[in-house]
Amino acid sequence: MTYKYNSELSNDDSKLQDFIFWKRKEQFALLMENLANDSIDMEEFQIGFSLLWWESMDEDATFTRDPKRVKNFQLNPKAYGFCSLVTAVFRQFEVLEDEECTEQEVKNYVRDILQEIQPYL
Amino acid sequence: MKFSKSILIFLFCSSVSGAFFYALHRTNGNVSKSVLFTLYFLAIKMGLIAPNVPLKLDHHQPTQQLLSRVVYNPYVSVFDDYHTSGLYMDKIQRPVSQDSLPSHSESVINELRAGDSRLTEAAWLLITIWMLQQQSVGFQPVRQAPPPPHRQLFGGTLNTPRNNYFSKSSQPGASLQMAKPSAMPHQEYTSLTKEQRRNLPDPRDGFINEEGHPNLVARYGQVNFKTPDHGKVHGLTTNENGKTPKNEKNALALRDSIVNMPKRKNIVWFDNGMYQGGTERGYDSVNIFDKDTNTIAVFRKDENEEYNQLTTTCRLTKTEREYLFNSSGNFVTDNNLNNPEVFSILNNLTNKETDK
Repeated sequence: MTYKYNSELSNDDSKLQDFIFWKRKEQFALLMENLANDSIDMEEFQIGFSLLWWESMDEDATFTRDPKRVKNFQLNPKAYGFCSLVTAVFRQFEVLEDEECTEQEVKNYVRDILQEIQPYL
Repeated sequence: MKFSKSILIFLFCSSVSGAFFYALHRTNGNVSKSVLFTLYFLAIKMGLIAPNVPLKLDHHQPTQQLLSRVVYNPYVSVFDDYHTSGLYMDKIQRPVSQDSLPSHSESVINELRAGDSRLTEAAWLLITIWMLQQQSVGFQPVRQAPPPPHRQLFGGTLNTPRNNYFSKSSQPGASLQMAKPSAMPHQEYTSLTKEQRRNLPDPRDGFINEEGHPNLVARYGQVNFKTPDHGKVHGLTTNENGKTPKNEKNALALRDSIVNMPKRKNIVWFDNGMYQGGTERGYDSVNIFDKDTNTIAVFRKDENEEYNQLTTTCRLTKTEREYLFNSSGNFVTDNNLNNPEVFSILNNLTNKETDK
């Protein structure tokens, strides 16, 4: 089952987070393409993707701590839902860690998400 | 510890010098033979050679007795005038019958076999063994495991008896990795899943006993397993690959961070929460959530256990957080938030709220 953005759970906080992740959309997409094309293996993908995900999370945490910046921030509708899409991939790593899925299943999942994020690019 | 070592060193030195002077006396001052005898003595003591070497120091009283092993025996030997407790040399070959030995020869043989100092020797050995058992293993100090915070830690619960696989003698030391408990049958251990093995009791487990909430445990094996990919969730340092090095220090730091979560300011308890509720991977859980850092710790509920066991800890996105609170504690990760069944749970909760 592929992921589809659910606007019911979206609020201003999550939209801000979407934007911070969306700023790195090319990097996320490139990593996913490389995995889909077998240019990199699962371990390399996992390392690169996790570093990027955490970098975005840390930036969001820093940003959220500054009320002035949050207040002046202009939401960008193009980014809505992007964080959830890449996080959906990131969460698969734990499923893989717990040996509840295979690397191939993760790769197939990434291919599906790659289709989902095309409108964001 | 230092006192014990000093006594051991003193006994060792006195034993060696005693051997030398004894040999010196027996060989009428022949230093080279005495040194040789002392070296033999040392080698036997250190276990470098088997002590079944005939002692041929005394030319006046050559004996061919072979000493193969030293055995503690409380009984009196038929050959010697042993006391009711002491040591005797097993497998003694005596070419000369007891009857044919003159009383003088017998006393000399006894002397050669350290018969006169047998009690001293026994005392020396007993003291050494006692000290080794009491305070050290191979002269290395043993780190005592911290006592479990609950009396039923290694023995199940009041209502759910469990085999005490970690007897006092089999508790793994702090430097050991997770291994099969010595008291657990091999077949039983191999039948466990990897997750079950990670959740076997360990002296390094961390416990949460908060009044008014279910009891929780962060098993060391599970925490150690989660350390590389989840250490960062709790602020542990990472390497160039973004992973927290998997070692005992980091695992304990992660354990402590999880165990101390209830002491933080903005903590929310979901005593009747779920993990991935509405999906195939879903189960009931106790969830602790830190609102300041968006960090969650998930403890799988198990009616047969007194302590609910940690399964994972994560940093939530804003969307996941939103769903967690809207669903009264169902932590569903982003990859499952489009699952219709996940949302049916949310809708049911919303309908119940509306009915009220």
